[in-house]
Amino acid sequence: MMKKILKYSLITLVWIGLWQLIAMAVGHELLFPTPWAVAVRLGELMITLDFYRTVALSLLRIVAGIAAGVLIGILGGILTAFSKLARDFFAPALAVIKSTPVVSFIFLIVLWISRDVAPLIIAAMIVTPVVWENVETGFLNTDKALLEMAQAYGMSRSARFFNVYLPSIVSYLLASLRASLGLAWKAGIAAEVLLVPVISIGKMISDAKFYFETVDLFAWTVVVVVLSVIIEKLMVVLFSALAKKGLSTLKGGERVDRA
Amino acid sequence: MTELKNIQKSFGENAVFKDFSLKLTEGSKNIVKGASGCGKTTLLRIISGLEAIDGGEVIRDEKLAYMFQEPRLLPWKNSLDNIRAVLKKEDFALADKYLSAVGLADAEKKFPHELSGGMAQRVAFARFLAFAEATDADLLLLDEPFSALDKETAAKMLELLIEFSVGKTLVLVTHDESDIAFADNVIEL
Repeated sequence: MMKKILKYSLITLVWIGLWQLIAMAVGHELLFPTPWAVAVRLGELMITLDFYRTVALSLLRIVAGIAAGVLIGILGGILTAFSKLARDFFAPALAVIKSTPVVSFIFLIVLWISRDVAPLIIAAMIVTPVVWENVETGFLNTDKALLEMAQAYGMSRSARFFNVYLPSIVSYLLASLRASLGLAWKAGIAAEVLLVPVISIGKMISDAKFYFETVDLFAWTVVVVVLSVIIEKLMVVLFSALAKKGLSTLKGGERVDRA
Repeated sequence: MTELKNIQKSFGENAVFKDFSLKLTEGSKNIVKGASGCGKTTLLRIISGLEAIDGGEVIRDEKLAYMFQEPRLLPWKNSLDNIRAVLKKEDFALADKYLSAVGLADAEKKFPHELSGGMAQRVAFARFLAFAEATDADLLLLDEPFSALDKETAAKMLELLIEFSVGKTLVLVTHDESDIAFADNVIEL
């Protein structure tokens, strides 16, 4: 464990060192601030209440969007796994969501709904198709031999769902979370930058760009990166724990007697 | 009573059963033998209803329990929970009972990937026995249940099966000639 910490600390130090070297080579704080200047600015920001209010509101918007996307993706994936008609019906919609540029959606959402909810919807739109398709694949790839065993042993539909299908999709679900959370967070922040909701990280980044406060821009970018890593790790740990707990409590099954 | 009348079954061009009939009298002990690929597993699957037939009729009024050739254990459940998964809560004690009976009480917390092939097959056998007792099954179908076991353990498991199957109809697919001794009917395919 100590070895691992030491290794990652060293890698981080090397990268910060490189950053410092580039900043020294550029020699102009307005274009490329030093890590020290950014750290100092970050420290200044972190002792204000506004910083936490801004971070909390951005987090709330985007995490709510991610959660909604995960939920819709799971339900949709289950639906289309079991119904060919539903699969055919939703396929064009998923293809459109995946291939349309995020920025088009951002402006459409502002036009149709409100700029305050746009980051939430954008985050959900990034997560939904990835989770949806992975959950569907997980269900369709469920081991047929286990399903036949469940049938032979008279497991009811619900017992089959909880004992065989659901555990089969856990690894697919976690893979889809790993693939989409970072993207959703970045897209949500991008939506904030473009739409500047009154209190948001996006507005701070947008202001920093507008007033040429490059140190601020770097400081808020560091916040976004750190939060992105934390969210991804937390969500994966949370879903892994939920899945583990769910699986360990699934003892027995509702059996149906057969003639 | 279980009866198969004029069964037709093909897989593509390969006709496995052509007008095949079979009557299993209640309480009989039946052994199914034959070369690999001759349809032994298909016969059990047809009796159990897992395999659709192309023609003929299956008449069965007995409750059945089926043991597959492969263990087919749920990878995310330990040995004990694999057996419990096919039982109602009130029958959970049967899981402990039969796990002990197959000599794997110590392995109840082990997951399938931690078991050897023979151990996994014994857990599957324990699941089969627990399910058969819980459902009061009177038709026992077993597809090479002891193929992964050493001779000594296989003999012990067979003894357990013979004891368990008293008064029940038994259909056992096997390649082991020594299993034939206890049978009162050998179905050669």
